[in-house]
Amino acid sequence: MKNRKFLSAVVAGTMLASSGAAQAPAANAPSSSAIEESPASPAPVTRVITLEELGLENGFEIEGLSGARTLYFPLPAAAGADDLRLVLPYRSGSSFSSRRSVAIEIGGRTQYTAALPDGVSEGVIDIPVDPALAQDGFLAARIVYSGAITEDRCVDQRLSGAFLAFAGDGGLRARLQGDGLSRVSTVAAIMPDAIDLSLPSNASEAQVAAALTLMLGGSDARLSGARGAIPDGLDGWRVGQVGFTGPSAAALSVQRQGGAPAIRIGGEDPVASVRLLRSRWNTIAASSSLATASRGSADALRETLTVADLGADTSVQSVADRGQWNVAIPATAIPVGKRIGGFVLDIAVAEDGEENRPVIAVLFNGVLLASAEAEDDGRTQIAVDLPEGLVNTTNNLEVSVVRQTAGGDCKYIPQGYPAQLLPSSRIVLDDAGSPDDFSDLPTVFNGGFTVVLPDAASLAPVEALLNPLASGEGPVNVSFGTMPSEGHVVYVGADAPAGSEPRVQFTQGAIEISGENGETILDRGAIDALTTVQMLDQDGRSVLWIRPGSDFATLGSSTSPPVLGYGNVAFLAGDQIDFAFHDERERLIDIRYPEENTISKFLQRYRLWLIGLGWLLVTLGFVYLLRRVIASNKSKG
Amino acid sequence: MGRFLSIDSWTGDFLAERGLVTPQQLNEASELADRWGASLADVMLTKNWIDTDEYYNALAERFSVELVDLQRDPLDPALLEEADVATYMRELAVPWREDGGITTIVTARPGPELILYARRKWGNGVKIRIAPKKDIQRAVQAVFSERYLDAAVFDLANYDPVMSAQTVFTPVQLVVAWGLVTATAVGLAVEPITTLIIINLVMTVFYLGNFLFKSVLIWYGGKNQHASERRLDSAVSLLRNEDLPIYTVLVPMFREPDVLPILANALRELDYPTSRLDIKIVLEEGDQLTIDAATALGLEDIFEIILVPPSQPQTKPKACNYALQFARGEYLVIYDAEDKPEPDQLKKVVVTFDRAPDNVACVQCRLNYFNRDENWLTRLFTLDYSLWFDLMLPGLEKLKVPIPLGGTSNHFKMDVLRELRAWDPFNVTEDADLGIRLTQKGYEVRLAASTTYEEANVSQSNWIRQRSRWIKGYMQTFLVHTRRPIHLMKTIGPLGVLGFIFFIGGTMLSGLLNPLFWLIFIFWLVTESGVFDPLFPPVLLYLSLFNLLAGNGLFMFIMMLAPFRRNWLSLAPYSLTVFWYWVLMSIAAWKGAWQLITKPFYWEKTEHGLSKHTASEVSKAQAGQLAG
Repeated sequence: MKNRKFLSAVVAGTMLASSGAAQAPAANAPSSSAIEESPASPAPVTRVITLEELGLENGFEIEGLSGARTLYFPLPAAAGADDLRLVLPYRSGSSFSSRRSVAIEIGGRTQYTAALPDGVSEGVIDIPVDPALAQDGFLAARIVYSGAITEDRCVDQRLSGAFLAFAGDGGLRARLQGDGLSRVSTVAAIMPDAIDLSLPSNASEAQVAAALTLMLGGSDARLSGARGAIPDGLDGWRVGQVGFTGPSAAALSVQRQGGAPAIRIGGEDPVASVRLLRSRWNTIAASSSLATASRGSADALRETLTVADLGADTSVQSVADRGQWNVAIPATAIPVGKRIGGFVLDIAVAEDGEENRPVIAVLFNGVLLASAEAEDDGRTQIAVDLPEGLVNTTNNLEVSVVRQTAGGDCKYIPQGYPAQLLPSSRIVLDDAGSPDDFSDLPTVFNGGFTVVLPDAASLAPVEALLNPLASGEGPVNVSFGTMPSEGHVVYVGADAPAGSEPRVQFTQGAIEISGENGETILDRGAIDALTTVQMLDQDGRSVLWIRPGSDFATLGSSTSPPVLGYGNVAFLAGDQIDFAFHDERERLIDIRYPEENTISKFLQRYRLWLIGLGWLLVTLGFVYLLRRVIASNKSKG
Repeated sequence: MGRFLSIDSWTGDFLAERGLVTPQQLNEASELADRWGASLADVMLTKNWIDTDEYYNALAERFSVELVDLQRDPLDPALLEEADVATYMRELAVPWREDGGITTIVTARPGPELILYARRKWGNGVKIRIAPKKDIQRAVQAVFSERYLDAAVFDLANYDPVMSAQTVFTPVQLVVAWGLVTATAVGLAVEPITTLIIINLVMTVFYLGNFLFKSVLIWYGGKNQHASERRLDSAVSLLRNEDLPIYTVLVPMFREPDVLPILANALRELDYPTSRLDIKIVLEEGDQLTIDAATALGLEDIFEIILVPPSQPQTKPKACNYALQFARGEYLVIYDAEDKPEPDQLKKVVVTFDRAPDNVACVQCRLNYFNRDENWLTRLFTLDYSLWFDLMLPGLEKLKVPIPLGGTSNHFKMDVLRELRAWDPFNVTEDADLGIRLTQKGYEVRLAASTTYEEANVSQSNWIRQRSRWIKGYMQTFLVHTRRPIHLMKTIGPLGVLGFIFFIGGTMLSGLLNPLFWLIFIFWLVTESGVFDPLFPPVLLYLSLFNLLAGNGLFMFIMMLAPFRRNWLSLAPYSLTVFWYWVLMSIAAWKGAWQLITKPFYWEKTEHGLSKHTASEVSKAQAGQLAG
């Protein structure tokens, strides 16, 4: 769901024009007749769409003396918003005497402008917004920041020290009329990303699978209780609520709970209902003016993945000295059976008339992959092959443009020129081999998998581990204790699934994992207390075996659950990765079973006897040869 | 033999008068005798224009002397002196009977010259009898065979027992080896990882040294070769036939009847006056097939057949030692039965000896193969030989490191060879051993730019048999010469010892060790197991990696370069397949090591004549003989 947040925050417009395929509803999606609307006309609800919810967890900051940012707040027309206020707490500062201002444009018209004082200052921009300015299900608010050093000072603007920062808890405050919130589609579109998910105590496998599907892929949905008390909806609708009803109830329905609308999932196939609910097109679909989404074939999406598909910020930046775009690439975004093979990046850099061309640099997870001078015809394409071993579960592609500014001589004020990471920039996808590391699992699990749980209570910690490893786009099944005959599996249990060969075996008695100098890093006692996660192979399919430790349950309520990436074996202490390694690559890590009884153990145990026996045989051979030599000498004599 | 005697003109006329030969045959025989430097009678007998019995009967009648049947009335051993054997063979005159102070001589070449010689040798009261040349040679061999056979086997062992491989391992060597095994066992028991690392380190350093040493050899060996070859060619053109010394050519053969025509033809084509050649075809008495083939071939009289009485060990060096005692040349060369030496080889060697210091006692010529393009094995074998003889041995020569002589085409000064008691009959690479022994005794070996072409093995099993014998012989040689390490160091110097260790020891040891490292590498490649990681600390790992990649890569590269010298460029790509050749070499090494313990003196016979080229060579040789 984080994808959706960011997508809706900054690139909704771009997304509409991109070539990504629209996600079709699942074939077995509930029909409209199965979706029950709330009949009553309830009280209005106040919904606060914060910057955090838009993916800007820490708000955002504009450095220097100029910059702009557009925020897209999802606001379907059907939600019936009638009292909108944009409330943005900010901090501002400048080191030198300067003239700075901030303006807010909504719907292309300036709604607010104010001067920013010298020095550090704080304030709140609080302006009313006309609901009619929302278009296509979104309200676009553009924040424009500009200014200049006072002309009697000669300072490079890069050194001005000026900034304007907006806090993450600011956003759009909307009063939603209760009538509009009786429809499932509207509630799904406007509902907060943070979801509190209630599972019945006797939840069925299908309901658990549905809950898991809703929570996967970076979603902010958590099982009930993990967030503590849910604030009253009348005081500000910040957490959405989703619950389950019986199979005889409608597939999706809306009910009021604590003053806020809540979605109930029922029907025979709750997973299909969840798929409809989590569609990233909800906001647009809820708009009355849905006209053109995106066109493109599903095959194209399987072969390439544009940065627009990933919801990356590809907005035009005015670059005086340095501009930068970051593209978050979660492994879950990579299609099934593919891996990141490289990038083809299109960067448009406006001509600035300078002799030195701007330089474009490409970094992946902090590693510089390529750099090039910008072409002088406006668009530069950089093709990069990705070396092995750089990809992790969460990845960051950074593209920067650096200009050599002509400022500094006080003759000209440095001038920014536009530059943009074009949305057509794409990730080149290669065929993935068999998974080696945890970070390779999304390419397997995105195609579907089955979670084998002892019971529904284990779902929360399992979900915490799986969230960054599976998108939930493929079929997700849950089984209470029964291994499926085919398909990839996440298995939770104390013993390894039959037919697999665990990398760390728990059936050989004592275990010692030793490091470089033979020192024991972990022994059986420590390992038993830890949660052990291993990647296994069972008849050609991937199995992720989670062996719960003593504090496994705490994972479910962790605010920062671990992200498995490196290695194929990991030991978890609570919600921290205690130790992770790859059992074949790591030469210096040795897994030993002191009580194991194998041929190598036999050789080790009887080493001295075997050496003695060998020595005896060789000695007898020498004696035989010596006798032969002596006899030969005698005969010669 | 070979000198144009007065008997020739008398005999020719007499035979023509008697109608035993036609005037045309007589004229042709005279021309051939001139060309070959042979006697008229030898030519006519060689050409089968006259029956041997008829000729000697006519000769007896002509000189009015009695014809003796030496099989019925053999020589009196008491009248023969061992020191005069070479003279008997040269003059074809031996004392037969003595009665009342008058010695009766049997000869195959009666005439005034013989009478003068006999009177000088045995006094005025001599009587002459006639016997066929081959009967005389056989009769002399029969008198001395037992004594010569004993000398052929035990001469070196009696004279210099430490240098003989008759004792495979000395007690000291066995005790030292047992000590090393025991120390290793103790090390494995107490500090297994450290011990294995030390063993690994020793092997790795050995590989590195081997690789570096051979690189240095090739670097040195390839320099300035062409200039010395041109100087040699010009010196050969200045030689006069009458100044050339007698040259003994030994051709030991065993069960090789098919290749006899090739050999005879190749020897006939030698650019050396026939009268100065002493060719001895050395056959084993029990090898009736080859004896019959030699008889049926009707070889000219310049080919003398030596029959070696049966005894153990039945090895080539023993046969050569035996034949050596009948040799009468100033120089001696050994050729294998299927060899095709370049015609001017003997002359080049004479020049090389003339221009070399006195202590140069041996000249090794290059060996290569005439059937190199026959199959993969012959191509690789050719590459191997090109590397060995064209690049490595010249490097050894320049660095003055003992040269392990190749199996054939090594030319010796006869007196030095006899001084050293010739070849070790218990060593199955007697030539390599003799090369080291020569250097230890202060003599040098030089190389001559002349090639002898042989038949490369076409069959892998046959190749393994041959190579296992070579490697077993190298092991014998290594064991023999390391019995006195200090003496070895004093006599051949540190560089010589280094060369000896890497060239002799390295060849056999790398063959034995390679499979071990290959298995480790393959095991690691397939399983990616870390079980061997403790044995490869970083420095050792990098060294091993260097050996694996750079070492093997360089060996492949230089093997690729080896055929360039001879412009055999089509062979170069095959060097990329050398890995299998190394596998075969390792199989041969282990076979050789096993035989060293179980059958140390067993001569693993290489079968010749399997090549289809050999069949065509035989046809050509037979056609040449008919035409000649």
